[in-house]
Amino acid sequence: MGFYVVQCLSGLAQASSLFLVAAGLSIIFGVTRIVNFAHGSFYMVGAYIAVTLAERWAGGMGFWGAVAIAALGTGLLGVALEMLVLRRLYQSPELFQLLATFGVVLIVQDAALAIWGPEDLLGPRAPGLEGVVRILGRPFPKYELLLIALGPLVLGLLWLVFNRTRWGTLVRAATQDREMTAALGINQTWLFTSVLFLGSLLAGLGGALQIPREAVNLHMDINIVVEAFVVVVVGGMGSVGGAFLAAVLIGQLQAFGILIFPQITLVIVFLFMAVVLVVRPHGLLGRPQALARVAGTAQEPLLRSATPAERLAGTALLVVLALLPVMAGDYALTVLTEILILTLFAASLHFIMGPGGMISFGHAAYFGLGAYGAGLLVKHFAAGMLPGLVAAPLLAGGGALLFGWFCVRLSGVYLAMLTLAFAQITWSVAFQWQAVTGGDNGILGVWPDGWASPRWVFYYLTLASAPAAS
Amino acid sequence: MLNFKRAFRAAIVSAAFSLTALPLTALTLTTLPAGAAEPVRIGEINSYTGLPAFTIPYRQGWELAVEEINAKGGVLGGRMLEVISRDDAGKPDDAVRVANELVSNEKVDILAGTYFSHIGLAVSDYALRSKKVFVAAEPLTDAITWDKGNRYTFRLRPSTYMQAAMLVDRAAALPAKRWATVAPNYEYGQSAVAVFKELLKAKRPDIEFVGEQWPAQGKIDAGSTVQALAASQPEAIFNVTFGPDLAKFVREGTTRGVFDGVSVVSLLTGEPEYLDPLKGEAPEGWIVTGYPWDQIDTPAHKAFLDAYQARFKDYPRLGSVVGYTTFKAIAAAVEKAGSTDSEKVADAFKGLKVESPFGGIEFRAIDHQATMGAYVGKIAVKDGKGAMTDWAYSNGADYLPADEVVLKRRPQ
Repeated sequence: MGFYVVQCLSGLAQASSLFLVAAGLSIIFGVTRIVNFAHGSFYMVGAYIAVTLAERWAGGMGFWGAVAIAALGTGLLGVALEMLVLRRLYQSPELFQLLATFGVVLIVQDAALAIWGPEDLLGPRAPGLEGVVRILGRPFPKYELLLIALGPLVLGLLWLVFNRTRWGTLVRAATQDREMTAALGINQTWLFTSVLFLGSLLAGLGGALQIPREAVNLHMDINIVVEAFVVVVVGGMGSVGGAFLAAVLIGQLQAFGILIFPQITLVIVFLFMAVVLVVRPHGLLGRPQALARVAGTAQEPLLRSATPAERLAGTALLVVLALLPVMAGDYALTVLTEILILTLFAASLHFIMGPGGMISFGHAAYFGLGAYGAGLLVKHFAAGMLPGLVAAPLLAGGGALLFGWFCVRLSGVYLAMLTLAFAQITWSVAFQWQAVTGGDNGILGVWPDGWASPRWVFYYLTLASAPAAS
Repeated sequence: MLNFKRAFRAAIVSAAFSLTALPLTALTLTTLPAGAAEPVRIGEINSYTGLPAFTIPYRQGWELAVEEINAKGGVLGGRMLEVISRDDAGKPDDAVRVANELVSNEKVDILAGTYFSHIGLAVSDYALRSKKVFVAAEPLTDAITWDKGNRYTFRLRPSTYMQAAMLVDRAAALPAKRWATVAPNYEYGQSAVAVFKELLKAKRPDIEFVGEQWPAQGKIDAGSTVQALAASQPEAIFNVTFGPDLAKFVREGTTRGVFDGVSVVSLLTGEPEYLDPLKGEAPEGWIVTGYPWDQIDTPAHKAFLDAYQARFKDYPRLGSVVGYTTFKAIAAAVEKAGSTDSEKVADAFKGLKVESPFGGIEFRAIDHQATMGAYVGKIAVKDGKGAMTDWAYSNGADYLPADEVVLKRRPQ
């Protein structure tokens, strides 16, 4: 009995730290509608600042002072991000926002490497909370109890802010209907900046509070941000209460899931997200998003026949590409082949997002299914290259049919996240099913058949299939 | 058909992506005296941007080796070593592309390097295809010399199997009968646990494995994992987690008293790369493989240590020894072959004997695995830092399976 109670508490502590980060992300998304990939970077920067300061200032006040300053500092970084980057992106398509914030992730990563160095930094423990208390005879860290209390506390504070202050009312109004709020004369610039401040502050706080639990490292940002996204989406984008509920459920699922099926760690979170989104397309407590009313710029028709000039340019490009092997060396040919492959991939993503109008974050799954399909056929069934090339797209298409059946009912970010969930599930199957896929070592020794092995033959093969398919 | 404008734009974007990735990371180390013979060109690939904490000491190691070799007049009667180093960004496809670039454009004679196992395997597959010798420096996977071994690939560092086998020696001597395992959920963790279980069972039929945990690499939920391990009431634990996961695992486990009265046997934890970040919280009493760089007083190691510290004003990590020895081995192989011809160098590597900071090692003819060993000892905390005590060198040659087992696993 005691064991299950303690396991449940461990799950709650994990949930609390996840919630702090996810709450900030949810608030930011609710108001700005920006999928802020850089949120995890704030979490990491918060942890780095806290560990640096806490090392310098010993003692209780030092530790908590470091946490507070780290949170405030990251909040200010959030303000800078809003003013320098996000402000320009509010009207851009989701994928552009994602790419821009991902750029920020890379910049922060390099900056952190330059400032704090490559080694993991193990910070001090929280003064006064180093020990354990016995719960039903089992030891449980005091610090984790504090974390457990902090989750609901922050939730309560956020509720007060959103429901009892004018600023909170404005934020809620903007979450519900951004354009209407603007039409009523609310200064959006200021509102968005302050929301970024609060959201980033929470991320920084979440990171700073991690230092007694883990060594601060350069991979913290990506590791947390995906999980935080899952929490936000499962809870319902923009719903802080939903984020809390989702964090608690995920924390408990992880804590008890590993008891029954220890190998499930890679996939459990995404499996949960997929199930929730299939059953409740807007998350546990989310509401359908109000459609953003874009001022009437005429959309470019997505599919139209090419003008004569474009036809000519296209044909010329093909001719140039066809002539390239004459002068390009072996290495250049390989790179050109890769470019053609990526072109085909890009065209396929464009097809699904442009004419199809569906945002997919999980498009790589089909790329992977195709590659694994061809690889496995060649490896396990000695099928040869051509049958592999024919069968692989069918496998990817079959996968897409299956996933798509669940996905197409959704739209916007929920759709994107569900496609991501399926991509992650596919990935973890490939990653863990070592007997068939070779795990992370992959499938080796798959090379073109003899007749296609000269680089220029393979180049022409790719050149022939890329435009034919698109 | 989609219109060409869009397709063209997509092509430009993808072209820009793949092209910018190429030349930025070039670093050439040339120490050519004027009018010297044509250099021996070595293409070197590693995850410099992805894993700087591991690969920078490694790079310093090979830089030292190359400088020493060239200062003594190079190889083959006056040909200098020239290293063209590239970053693989931690991705196997990038690694294969730069390997191809090194072979096709830079005309390198030999390939070397890599850290991650899946990247090492990808490059070894490319080496087989392009018939170039590849010396895998750091990857641990058994597959690279066994199940996926090939004529042109050689590996320096003791494999997962060898290091697990070294730990089994000590584990079998423990009184513990109930064992639990915790390992990251991918090939490295899986094969380490499988080898450990098999070998320990063979030595101690009376033991049983009562629990296992497979946290996701880099994302361990340490509290729950530690608690779940403790629930199976093990008398000993075999740990394979490393890096940030290990720090979390150690902290949660120590706080919750899970390691009290429990023996822990842990892979790689004694290597400075993993031990040093734990500082004063290094888990005392754990039995680990590692590298007690400050305590080894053999002449060979002393010479290496002095040269390294004089050159870089820093102490060596295990990666430094690996980088240093890899390039010493390449020079020795070229010298023995009397040529840079791939077939001759591949033949020369078979049974090649090299002096390393850890003593003499040999690249086995049977599976191309070097007999470099590791230090097995216990972790203690001295002056607020983790250190190894009670250690001994385990010679890699003693921890490889019988030849027929190797032959069965390695494609002929």
